[in-house]
Amino acid sequence: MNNIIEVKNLSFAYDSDEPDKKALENVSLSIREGEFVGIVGHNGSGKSTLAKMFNGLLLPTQGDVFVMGMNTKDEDSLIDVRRTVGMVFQNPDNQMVATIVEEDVAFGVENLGVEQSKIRGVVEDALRAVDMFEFKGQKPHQLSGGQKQRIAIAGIIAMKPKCIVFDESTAMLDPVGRSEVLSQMHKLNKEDGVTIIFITHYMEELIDADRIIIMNDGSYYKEGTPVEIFSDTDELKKLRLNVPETVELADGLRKAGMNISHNVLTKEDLVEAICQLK
Amino acid sequence: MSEMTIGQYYPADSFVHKLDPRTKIMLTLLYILFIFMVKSVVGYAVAFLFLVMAIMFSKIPVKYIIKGLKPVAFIVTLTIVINILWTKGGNLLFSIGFIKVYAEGVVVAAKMGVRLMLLVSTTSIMTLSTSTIDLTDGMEMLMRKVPFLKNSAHDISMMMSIALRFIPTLQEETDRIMKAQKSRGADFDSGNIVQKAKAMLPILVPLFVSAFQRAGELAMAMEARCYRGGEGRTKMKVLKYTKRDAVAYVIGFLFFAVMVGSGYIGLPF
Repeated sequence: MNNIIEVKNLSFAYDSDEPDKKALENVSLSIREGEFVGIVGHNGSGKSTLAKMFNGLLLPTQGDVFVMGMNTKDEDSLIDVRRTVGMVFQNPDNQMVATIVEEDVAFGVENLGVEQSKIRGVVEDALRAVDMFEFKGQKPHQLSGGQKQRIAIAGIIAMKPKCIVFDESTAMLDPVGRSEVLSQMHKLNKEDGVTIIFITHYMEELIDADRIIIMNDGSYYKEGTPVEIFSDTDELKKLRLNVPETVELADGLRKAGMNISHNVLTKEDLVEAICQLK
Repeated sequence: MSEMTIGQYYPADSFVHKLDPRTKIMLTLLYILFIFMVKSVVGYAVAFLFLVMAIMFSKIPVKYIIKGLKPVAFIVTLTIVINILWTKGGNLLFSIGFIKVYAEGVVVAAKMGVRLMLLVSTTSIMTLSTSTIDLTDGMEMLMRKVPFLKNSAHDISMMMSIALRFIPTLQEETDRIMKAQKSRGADFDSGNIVQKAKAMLPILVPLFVSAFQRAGELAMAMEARCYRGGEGRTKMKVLKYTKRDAVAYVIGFLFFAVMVGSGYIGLPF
């Protein structure tokens, strides 16, 4: 698989007067096309700063970020970078531009200068993809948090990006909204082959990810499959990351001498594993 | 908070609703312009008739229009009082101390009051019958025709639509902050005007802080969605004039002609 995003020796300081106060330090990593990658880290680990590097919202102080071979520092290709890598933010209220749902979904498509006759079809397809078609004439502030976030996702898919970055997009939602958004991400990833980068601090949301990257104090810490990452719960706690309840329980049982595999991540797996115990 | 009429759309299926927003904006502007050129009582009657017709063809309940007049009631009253007291001419009707009221003053004040009320009511019909998106789209298209506004037409309409978009969000926020401050013992309801104004400070400061934060985030989200101003941008909905608009323009101009013209043909009123 090709790399869709490549980060090379990236360092970044928010304040150019204090170049030593780095939000990111010498980060190198790559995201493959079609992957579902989770990026985790505690508050201030630089994960959101890193997310904003992926589509040129922030530019590296040192090092480079390449999106499909295009350098994000190159102003001429900035629009192409942003239509390749879409982004859904944390607060659903603060990313809605228009007063009507369908107008908001159309916003990005209009910015790209898509022919007028084609816009409506694209917008309606995007709304259907997130199961929000019947809400197209509504006002955003009448919708629930999860619904608003799905509208934001529709606004991004209408632009047909190859990759979507979710910057803590579930953090402000209730459990129902969170699972709506999460299943939407997986659907996009599986059915349409969209690369998903999910920045979060809820570890349990990454159980089904292909790969998890851990950030710590502005640096790349380590990466692995969920099974690999969750196998060392003590290390996760040391990094101030919350361990999913089931993983923690499985770990406790293991420490108490029970034979439970490290592959156990979900509640169903755990029930199965416990039933198998003799 | 829910009493605000301007920028509040009253959905209905009517002739006025279906008009192109540009037509509505232009006719409203012209109406405002011509109402200040009306000289005769007949002219005022015709202007009033225009308003009645507009209300009838918009299917907007009269109570909404009256509600829209409430916020300007103070200004109208003030204008009437000032005109009564300051205009001198005609017969002296009565005087109390230094206050002298002349017949001319009463007439001028009445005209001014009627003008203002007609003006506000007509504007209300426009805003009630046009969704905010159509309104800002219409303004953008019209501003493009004005030489010195041409280049900033898109920016102005984008700013207006974002402002309108955030009104309900900021209302919710104000509500939340007020409750939070009340739960800490803040008192917004008692005391004189100065004390009440001071009590607003703990609401306004957090409100502004959060508004700036929201603005920053929104700007970033817009950039992430490839926004780069009006250049190279297309629109999903494009405004189109129809026969209906031609009819509205013709009727409008007929009314305006009679409104202004009636003052020059030597009518007794």
